[in-house]
Amino acid sequence: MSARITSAGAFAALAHAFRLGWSETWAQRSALLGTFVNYAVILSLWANLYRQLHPQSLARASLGYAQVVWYLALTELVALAIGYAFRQIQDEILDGSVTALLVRPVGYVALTAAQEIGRTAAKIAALAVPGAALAYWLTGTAPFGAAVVPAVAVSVMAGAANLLAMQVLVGLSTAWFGTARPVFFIAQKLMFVLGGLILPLDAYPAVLVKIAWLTPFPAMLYAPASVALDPTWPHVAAMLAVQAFWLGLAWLAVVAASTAFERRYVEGGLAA
Amino acid sequence: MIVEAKGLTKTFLRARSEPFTAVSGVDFTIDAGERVAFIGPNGAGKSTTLKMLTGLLYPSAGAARVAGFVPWAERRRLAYEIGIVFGQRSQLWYHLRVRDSFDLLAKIYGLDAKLYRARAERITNVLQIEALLDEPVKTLSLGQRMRCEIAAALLHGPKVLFLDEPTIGLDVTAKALLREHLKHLAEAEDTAIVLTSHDIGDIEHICARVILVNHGRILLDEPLENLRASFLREKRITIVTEDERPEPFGAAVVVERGPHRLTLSIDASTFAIDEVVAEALKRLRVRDLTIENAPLEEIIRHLYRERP
Amino acid sequence: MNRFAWIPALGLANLRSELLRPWNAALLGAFMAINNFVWFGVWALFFGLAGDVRGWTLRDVTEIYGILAVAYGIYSAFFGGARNVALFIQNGGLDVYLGRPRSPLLGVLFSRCDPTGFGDIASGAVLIAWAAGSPAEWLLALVFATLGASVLVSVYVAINCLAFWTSARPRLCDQLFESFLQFAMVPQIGLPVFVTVLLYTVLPAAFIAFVPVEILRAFSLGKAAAVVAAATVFPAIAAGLFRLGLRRYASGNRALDVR
Repeated sequence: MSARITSAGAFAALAHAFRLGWSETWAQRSALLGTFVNYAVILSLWANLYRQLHPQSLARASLGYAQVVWYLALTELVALAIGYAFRQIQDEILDGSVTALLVRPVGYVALTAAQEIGRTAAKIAALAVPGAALAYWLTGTAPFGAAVVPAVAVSVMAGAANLLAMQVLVGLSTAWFGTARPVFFIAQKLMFVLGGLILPLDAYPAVLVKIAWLTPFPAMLYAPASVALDPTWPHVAAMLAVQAFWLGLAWLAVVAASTAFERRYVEGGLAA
Repeated sequence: MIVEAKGLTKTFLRARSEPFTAVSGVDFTIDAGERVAFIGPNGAGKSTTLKMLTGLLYPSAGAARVAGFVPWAERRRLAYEIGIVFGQRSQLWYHLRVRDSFDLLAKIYGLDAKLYRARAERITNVLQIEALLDEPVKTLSLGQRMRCEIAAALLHGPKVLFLDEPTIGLDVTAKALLREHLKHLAEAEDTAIVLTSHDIGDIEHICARVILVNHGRILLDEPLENLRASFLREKRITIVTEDERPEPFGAAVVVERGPHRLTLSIDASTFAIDEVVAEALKRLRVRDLTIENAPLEEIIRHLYRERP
Repeated sequence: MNRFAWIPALGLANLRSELLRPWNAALLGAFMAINNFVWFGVWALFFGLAGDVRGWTLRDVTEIYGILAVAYGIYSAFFGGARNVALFIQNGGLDVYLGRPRSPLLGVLFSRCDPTGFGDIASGAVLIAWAAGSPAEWLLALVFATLGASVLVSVYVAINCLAFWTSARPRLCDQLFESFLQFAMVPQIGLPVFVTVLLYTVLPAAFIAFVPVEILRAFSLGKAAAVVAAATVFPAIAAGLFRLGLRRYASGNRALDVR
């Protein structure tokens, strides 16, 4: 009788992949250090710029210096924790090693995504405290209390999961375009603009805000950062709901893309 | 003498670990046109020795001269006199045609255009790679690429060609082809060859001299024929029989016994081969019988055990 | 034969390696250009709110970004192998270049061409054109960008040279370089003194785009001389570090275990 993997078995495999991603990230301390250096440089440089703005500039958007710095601390946390996750998928497709990975009983994309979630969770865990310490040092204050931290943490993970789904889709696009980089460039920069990486959407022109909310990008960056700035429960609930909506849609897209990818790879074959 | 090594030693310092001596007091000389194989197990010091001779590594002690230059002190000048082929690293330009890589190397080595073209034509004829010249390197099979790598390493007319595991990863046919070409090329160009390899076939088909290294020391430095002669005492007799399970006989050592097959090892200095053959014909229903020298592989393995 | 003929030959071979797939190169270049224009949108939004930062306007920052984009494009299109230095140190890839009778550093620099660099150069030139007050300023900005590329490549090489003496992995070197680029991208105004000193010395980010734009706003011979000096001194420092590191590479004693 041939063996078949059960749901419990598949879940255990995915959990193991998560743990693998988590532990290998912690083992690569120099890479974590490099990520934090990058984070600290970006946050400090932009905080320096914000510090020199006329106070009225930020006030026009109902923002203060401390708020924008903490906002940026959270958006950068999500953006840097994901990094270039699409590259593993791109490289495995291009060098053909995905062939061996496709014949496993647990899906290639599911395993890769689980491993990436582990990596992301590890990076968020590693960056969150020193990042918060840096933001506190730069601003001298924290715009939210300890009671809000769980909601912020959940929203940050939801934002990261949304962003990860995008990166998986970008990586899989290699199968159709021969490289994922062009798609990544556009997706990342659109995320920076429409997701409000540097400035909260509240500071944007109204028409751009409308356009942004039609995309998943605010769910990735703006939502978790704004939860920290406006921790009232209506706002938190609204942001979590938006993130949940896009999360469902994004991972449905990932399942569809994964099926299409396997079909294209197995039936169509891909040139080396 | 084209290569001379005296007391060559290399000790690596390692963080949180004892220093590791990869090569210890290695002495040898190689004459122009000679073909020498460095053999030994993994970690024996073969590649480390090669790297010191090509200027890629400083020795911890000792001296060497290659084509009149001290390798690690005069690396760039030495580069004009030697060619290096790495089995696992390419020096061709992956996306470009083979011809383009050759032209580029001609510029890097500052070769005279006429001389380069004449030489390239000669080498490509010997290596039979004319049909590959207009193919991108990335489309070549491993065997084809290795022949092109060797051609590339010879374009500037080096006096010594160093090859580090040149047949690694090649199939049997590609290996045979490469060995044949390499041997002819060395003879045609009067280039000394120094090669490291795990593959006994490389030694048997290309080289005339064997330097056996283990644990960083030279255990043996002999012409290949001397090596064979020292071990010619051992003969292998393979008998194919009608009997399904042929029984061994006499004092011969059984090397292999299988359905309808028996291989015996005989010390020819102790036993007369004709008597053993006669005994086999008497006791077994012989369909076929072969007498061979012990394979070189066995000789080498025996040497590893004998001289650790 | 011209004894320097190998340099342009090597550089051209590097370019041809990528341009043999013209559609792929065009796609990557075009999308990188779009990428840069979208990022310009971030600056536009920022200055839409801010108005100016201590007199620095969107035009000034766009010119900084444009010069940096061109400089970065020159690096990635022509000297893209700078990012390979740490990788080759760690995997022994330097051996191939050391076995040749020419500069191994130039060999490594010419070992990679990233076609996105052409997109950076094109979009950078467009951004400068939008920000510049005259064609002469545009041309001068491009000259500064070329000098800036020299500094940028030197810094990348120097960072990668860490791998000679430490166990710094290629990924860490890339991350440190990305941090350096952040300094070059953002106007260096109002920074703490020690940071400013760093940016004019050990981490010469100021010379890539910020000081050139200061010169374009108000010409200063001293600053122009400093930019030219930086473009010659830092490559010499990087080459010196590489040469020093090669001695360690050839000694075989690095922080990592023996290859």
